[in-house]
Amino acid sequence: MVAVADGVQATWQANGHAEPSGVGWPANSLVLAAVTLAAVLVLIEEIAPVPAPVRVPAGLLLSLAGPGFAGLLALRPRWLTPWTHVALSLPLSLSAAVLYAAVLDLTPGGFGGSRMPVGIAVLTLGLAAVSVESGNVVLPGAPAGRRLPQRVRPAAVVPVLLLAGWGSFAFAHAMQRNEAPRYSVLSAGDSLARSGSGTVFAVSVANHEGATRTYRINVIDRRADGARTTRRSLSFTLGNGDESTHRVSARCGRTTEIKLKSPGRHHVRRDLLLRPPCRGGRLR
Amino acid sequence: MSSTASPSRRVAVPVEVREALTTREVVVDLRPSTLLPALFCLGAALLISDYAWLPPAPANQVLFWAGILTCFAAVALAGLQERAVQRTHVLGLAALGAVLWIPYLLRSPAYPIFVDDLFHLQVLHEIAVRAHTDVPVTLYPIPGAFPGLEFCALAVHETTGLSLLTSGRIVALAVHVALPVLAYLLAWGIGLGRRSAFVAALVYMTNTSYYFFHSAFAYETLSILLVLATGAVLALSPRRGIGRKEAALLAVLVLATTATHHVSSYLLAVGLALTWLVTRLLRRPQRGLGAITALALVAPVAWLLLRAPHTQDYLSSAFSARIHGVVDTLTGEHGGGRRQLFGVSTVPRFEQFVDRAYPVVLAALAVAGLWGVHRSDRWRRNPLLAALAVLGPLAFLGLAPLVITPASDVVYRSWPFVFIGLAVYAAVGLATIVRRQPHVPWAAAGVLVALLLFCGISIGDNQAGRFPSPQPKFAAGPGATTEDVIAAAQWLEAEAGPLNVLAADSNTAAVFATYGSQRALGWGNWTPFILPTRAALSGYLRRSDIRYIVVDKRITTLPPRYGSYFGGGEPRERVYAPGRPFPRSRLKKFRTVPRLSLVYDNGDIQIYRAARSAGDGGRG
Repeated sequence: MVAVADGVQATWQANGHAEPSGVGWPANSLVLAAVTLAAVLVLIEEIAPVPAPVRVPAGLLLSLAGPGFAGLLALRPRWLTPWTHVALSLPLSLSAAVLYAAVLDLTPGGFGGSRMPVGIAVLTLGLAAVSVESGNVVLPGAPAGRRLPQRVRPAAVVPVLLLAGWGSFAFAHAMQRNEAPRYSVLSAGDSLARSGSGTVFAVSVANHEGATRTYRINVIDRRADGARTTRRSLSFTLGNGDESTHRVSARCGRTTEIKLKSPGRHHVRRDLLLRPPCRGGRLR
Repeated sequence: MSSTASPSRRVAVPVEVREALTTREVVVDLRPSTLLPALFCLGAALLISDYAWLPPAPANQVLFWAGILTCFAAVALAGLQERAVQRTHVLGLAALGAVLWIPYLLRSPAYPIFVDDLFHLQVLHEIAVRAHTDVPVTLYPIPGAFPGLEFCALAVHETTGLSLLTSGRIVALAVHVALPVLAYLLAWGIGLGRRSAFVAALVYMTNTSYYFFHSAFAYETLSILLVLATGAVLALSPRRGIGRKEAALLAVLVLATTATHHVSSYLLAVGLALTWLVTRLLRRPQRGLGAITALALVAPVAWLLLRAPHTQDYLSSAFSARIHGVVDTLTGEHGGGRRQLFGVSTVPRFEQFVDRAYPVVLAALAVAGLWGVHRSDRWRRNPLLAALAVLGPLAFLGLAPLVITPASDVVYRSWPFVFIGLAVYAAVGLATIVRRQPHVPWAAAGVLVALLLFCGISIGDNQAGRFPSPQPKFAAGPGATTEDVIAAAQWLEAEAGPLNVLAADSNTAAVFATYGSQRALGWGNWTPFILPTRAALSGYLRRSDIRYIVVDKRITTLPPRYGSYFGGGEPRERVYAPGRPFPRSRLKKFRTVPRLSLVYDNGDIQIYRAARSAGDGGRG
């Protein structure tokens, strides 16, 4: 039983939540100031453009933490510690966005225009005002909890910086890496003209093979009795990412085959079968 | 782990330097603990480098695990120290959560490929365009019915000006970072010591959904965050009564969960109701809990009836399908009970072998935790702890055997919720073992959790495969969402406009429904593919409103990712044998049907257009 008691004491907190209360957390006023500034910047954005390097971090801070952080500070439950405050800011901010947008969805204009960012910013400013008014914010310079230790640790900082630099380089490389397959596209797009006897199609060839390639197109008419006639043949070269479009007429009652070939190590063969319907609904 | 750190070796600093830096303490601290951030960065750099240069197997696997386990070791070594403070725990868990999100991003950095991502990003795009949630149905039946996730991404999008895709990914990343921190706060709020709560958070991260599924832009990703936050606030609230402040927070979280995900809100209501019941049984009522429980019970029902009535059919069919799976398992009908473990897994065989330890270790920890809590008698004074025993370890022990049945999907989907309680009890079990056996250090607990993390990642790995590859190993799965398929979908929308009815395999249908905004058949999409003759297909096309048939030719060479090419209902036994690809002969008939024109071919994807009625040449 003694062993169990030891285990219990190590496993559980001795006297409930022994952590200090969030009151007096010296950074909360700074974070609240940042959140407030972010809300103001988002409101300014509605009047005049704010540069992206400022708008993006401000918007992220506001949308992911603003209402939650200010709301918790306004309510300030007794169990609030700095880290519960930070951790709960995200779900509460997202919840506030969800509920606000759900209400907007019921209105005729929905969340069009600037209703979302303005609403979130105003809500955050309102909650920040309540938290200041209720005396829950420790202003800078006031006696507060202990400061975070500041130590210069070259032995740790140098490898961290080196590895972070390497990781950032690798990350940028990985984000640009493209493992997409190489491919060529043969397609029959919008019909350009239509008459009683047939349709003219825009047949396109697109090269996504990663290199310049030479293509050859054969247009073959096939009658109902199976007879085949090569009507047209042409060759052309396309650079990577280039596209070439050709007019091809297809007669109703027949099947027009369009065959695409490109020789090389990675041999390309594509084909289309065009069967334009005749007027009156006769298909062949 | 040793709890007594070795003394730091202070290096003499010249007096003038010391005087110049009066406000900072200059210490060249060479204790191992000071190098833990560097160790963490090393792990992250290894992991990212693996995805940046993609070395061939097995080097890619070695680098992957070296990176993840190095990061884990750094966080665990810091957090398991006896004197570790809350800041160390929170920052360590958040950093580990961020690192474990990176593989999801780098698997497909340019565009999303997982079907949940595709669906929610499409709904997000439609909502952003229309400014309302009444968006058209393309493939899945309930778009916009539970729009919480889309609202959050929209908030980020509109406040930052970032793209919708980036905004969605930022929301997913933020959630992934916060999940273990909230699990930690929940365990701490219940009354666990800081170190035990840290272990509980690490155990929570080992659930099979955390690594991949909760990295995705899916509504469960957000809802599990809200459920955990609700649990954390409840655990931190005074035992005797929930005050107005806590009630306000809980109400906001409960309502947001309701608007975000159906099943999560139901499970949250069940959890709260059970907690309320336990408080009554133990005669330790918590004032205000009844009102929050009532809200959690009423809100989803009201939402279902007023806001998303059409969801009832979707939920009932999904529920009945799962019940059928369980019944088939029990009765042995329709091949029930013959699920092959790792049947379509892409992870190496070594990992599959190790993964078998996962349920065993968790079950052992669950039992140890139950025993530890029972002996401590804490559950009598803490109704939430007692309720979590039922929702956590006992639920796990009851459900875990089902993973070897075709109903395994139900089990895996329940684990993120079950692990909330299981993690707490597993941490209690580990802490109890460590304290009762003085020769077992905390590091041993860390090693055991590392094993669980290995298994959790491996079992719940990216369904598209761990690393990017131009040639997928499976068809009809997220790995087959390659750039050429997306290009084909975009071509069709550009040429023929949106919302044309089309039939395709399940993954191609998802891509064309989302990237191409087409209306893809979700049921019966296999019919034109399995019809044996040209005449039968012609007759079918005349009767149906199908406008396009999209063929992914890879279904004739690659096995299906999820056991079927066209979805769970396809009559595969009539067409192809298990383990064999879809017969090529069934695709050849498309070329001979008079009503069909082949209008697009890029090697993998062919698009056939069906002629409508008289005089129709159609666009595209």
